[in-house]
Amino acid sequence: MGAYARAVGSVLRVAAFAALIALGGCSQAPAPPAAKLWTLFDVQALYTGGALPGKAIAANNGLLGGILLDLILKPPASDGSSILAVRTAWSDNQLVDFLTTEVWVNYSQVWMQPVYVPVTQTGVGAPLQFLGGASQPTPIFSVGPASAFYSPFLQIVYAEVPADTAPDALTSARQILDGGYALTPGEGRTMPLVPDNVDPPLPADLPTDITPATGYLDGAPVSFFDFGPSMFTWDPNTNVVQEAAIYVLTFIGPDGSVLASPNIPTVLGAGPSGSGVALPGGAQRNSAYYRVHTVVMPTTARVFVQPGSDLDEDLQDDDARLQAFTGFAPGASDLQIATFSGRVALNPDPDPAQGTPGCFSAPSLLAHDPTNPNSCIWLGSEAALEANLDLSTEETTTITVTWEVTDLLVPNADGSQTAVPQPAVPVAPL
Amino acid sequence: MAVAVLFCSARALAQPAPPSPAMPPPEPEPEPEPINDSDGYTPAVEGAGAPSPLSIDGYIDVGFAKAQGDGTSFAPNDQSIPADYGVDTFAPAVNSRGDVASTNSNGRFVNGFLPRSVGIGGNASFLLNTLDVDLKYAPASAPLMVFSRVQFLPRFTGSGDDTRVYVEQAFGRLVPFDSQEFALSAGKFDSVFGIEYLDNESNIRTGVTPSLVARYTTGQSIGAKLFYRLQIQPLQSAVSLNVSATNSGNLVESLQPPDASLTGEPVGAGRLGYELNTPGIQAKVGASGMIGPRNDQPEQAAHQKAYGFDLRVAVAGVYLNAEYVHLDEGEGGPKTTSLGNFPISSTFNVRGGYVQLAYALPFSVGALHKVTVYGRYDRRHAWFDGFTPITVDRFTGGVRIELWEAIILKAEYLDNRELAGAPTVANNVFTSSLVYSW
Repeated sequence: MGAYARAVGSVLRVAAFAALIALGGCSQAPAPPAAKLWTLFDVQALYTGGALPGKAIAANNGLLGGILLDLILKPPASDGSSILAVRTAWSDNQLVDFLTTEVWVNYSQVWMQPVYVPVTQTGVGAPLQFLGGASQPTPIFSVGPASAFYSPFLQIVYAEVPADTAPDALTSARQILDGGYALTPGEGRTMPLVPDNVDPPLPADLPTDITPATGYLDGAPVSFFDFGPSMFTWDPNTNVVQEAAIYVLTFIGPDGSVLASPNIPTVLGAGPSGSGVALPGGAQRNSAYYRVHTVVMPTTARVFVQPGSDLDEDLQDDDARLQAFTGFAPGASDLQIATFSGRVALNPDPDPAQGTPGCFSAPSLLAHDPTNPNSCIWLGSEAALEANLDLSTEETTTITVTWEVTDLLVPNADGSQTAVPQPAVPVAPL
Repeated sequence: MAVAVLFCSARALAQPAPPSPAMPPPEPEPEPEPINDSDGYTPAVEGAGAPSPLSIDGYIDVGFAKAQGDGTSFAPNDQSIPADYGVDTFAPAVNSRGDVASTNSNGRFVNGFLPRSVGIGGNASFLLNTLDVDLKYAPASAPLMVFSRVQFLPRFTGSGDDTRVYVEQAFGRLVPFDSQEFALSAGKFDSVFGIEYLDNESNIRTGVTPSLVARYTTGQSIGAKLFYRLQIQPLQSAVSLNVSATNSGNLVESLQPPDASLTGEPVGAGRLGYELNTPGIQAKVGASGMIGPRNDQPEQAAHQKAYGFDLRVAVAGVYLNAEYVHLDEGEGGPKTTSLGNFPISSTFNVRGGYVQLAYALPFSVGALHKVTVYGRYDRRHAWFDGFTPITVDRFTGGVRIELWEAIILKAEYLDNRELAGAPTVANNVFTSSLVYSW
């Protein structure tokens, strides 16, 4: 074989080999969606990066319009500080305030994480105390907000340390675990980590006393808000936080398009058994961990909106087509307006076929009366949705959120509302 | 000739020539290298007397190991989730595959940063680490070699016994130019990153267990590979280039599945090496890199990037191996490894390396051929986003005894330490390995 033939043969061998390799190309199955978590740190970073308040996160996960940044955190002030946004929802037909601190998408579950609280015993039989005799602990977090497994749902784990331990001696989970201290798991508390320059809402907006506090994470101070216990339950075998449902009420426009507005208060589902505490006034503070569901309202349903009110203007701004799905009972009192504004009634208009007048036809029919079929059937609770709707239209989104209910809003006769804060339950040594 | 010597060095440790007691110490042996290392290929002689084109080799690795504690690196009181993010689950290794004594997290959620397990917990136990069968076909009529390595891996799973059959390698290698050390391979083959992959098999590895960074550099994958070496005879030197495009890059299969591309985009890797081969000293240095989508999730934008440096020196019976690895992985979609599906592929970073020193004492006393004592220091610093960075290290010391030409007995102790971040846990290991080769 000559040199030329050998060279050509070699080239052909390489080409054939390369062709064989190239045959390895193949089609790919659609990629499953990626999980994503937004904390307050992430929202603040979006603002810092130039995002506008109307920017939506979780925009393609089943909730029309996603969740706007300013529904979580108000736009930062000139000094970079921000305030948590207050929103309202229906909980068992009563209006409540809530805050949003985390948004997850494509998480089938989230987990509770441990947070360590050192306690001391000054003598045999003496009560346990926080380090340095402090009235509040300085908890030690184990997972930071940059982790996809970060969680605001924490189990207090008390670590009994020697009485002479300095207040700032223990600042990391490793120190606790390496210390050989007796560890006693305690209650679950909702304590989201927050950027140092994020503040709770102004007292005028939210009388609940949410005191910013400081703990430790990996040896460094970190800020957090303590929303207290009884806001979630978990599977003790897996530490998976049990979720409740929130229902976003939507309408179908004449052209078949889905209409929704964040200014129509959502309906909070009942929390898992064992979660929640009774708020003053009788309302139940349910879960703090919710999965978003959307429910299409029947064509007869209307949102109770006083013409010209702030809510009316907000709905116009969100989508003018929603006005077709609003209604009002002329002559309604200020108390009735404060009580029902934003709530959806199933039977507001006259029904000639049934011979019913429609519950918006007279203020006296606004309050639901089980004995009067002409009175309003309000969709302000999970039970009412289940009892009155075909929930086959319900769609479960891939969005879950931390919504911390902070206050019950009690309407007054003059149309104002009194915010009744949640009961304050401090961390207490064992 | 040099090519042939290097190529045949794959069996050097298994087939040492017994030195005469009266003779001076032998020259350092060439570095042991597996058969698939791309050191070039010389077609066999044709005609009568030529060796059979088909050869069947293999080995059996029988182990005995005992790990401290429950055989894992999980701290008993730690309840943070995932359990495998804040500790080094690969630390209590018991065999050359990097399998650990246990990965049982007692119900705590784990997210797929796990090695394979032999399931012995903290019990002392005999193990059949590997039954390895290698088939090689090298026809005299073509510059082609076909090689397959199938391994049988009997393991206790916690719910019973199970023997996994694993095709570790299966590839064809073509040497198109007779005059060049230039080879093309396609199939499933060893890593091209760094040097530790050369010691993957227990009949070749000096010690028993891999280093703390082996998980990032020693995995096999499917794809294509190109090797080229240029000999510089006047300088007794050579320069080599080994590059590959594969499904998963260099990470071990428990971290990234090699048998399919989950992103549709290959992972590129390569090593540029320099060799000095003198009668008195052999030295090899190299720089490696890897880039491409991480193959434990579906998003092409979730990249993994790695680089590393390696050094090997052999002189007067002393062998020095050292390697440094730097790897960053971006956040991606849902995670899939060879161990299953997990919800999240987190951003991950690691820097680490090892230094190993071995001294081979030649013997010729009956069946005893060689005794090698060795020590290795590993250090690894790693972190998942949002989790406490952890720093761990390990001291390994052991002895290797070679009997006849087919038996290797190894025993070593691993002193694992958690230096920062991870809770201190009892996870030291004694392990041993009896390897029969044929």
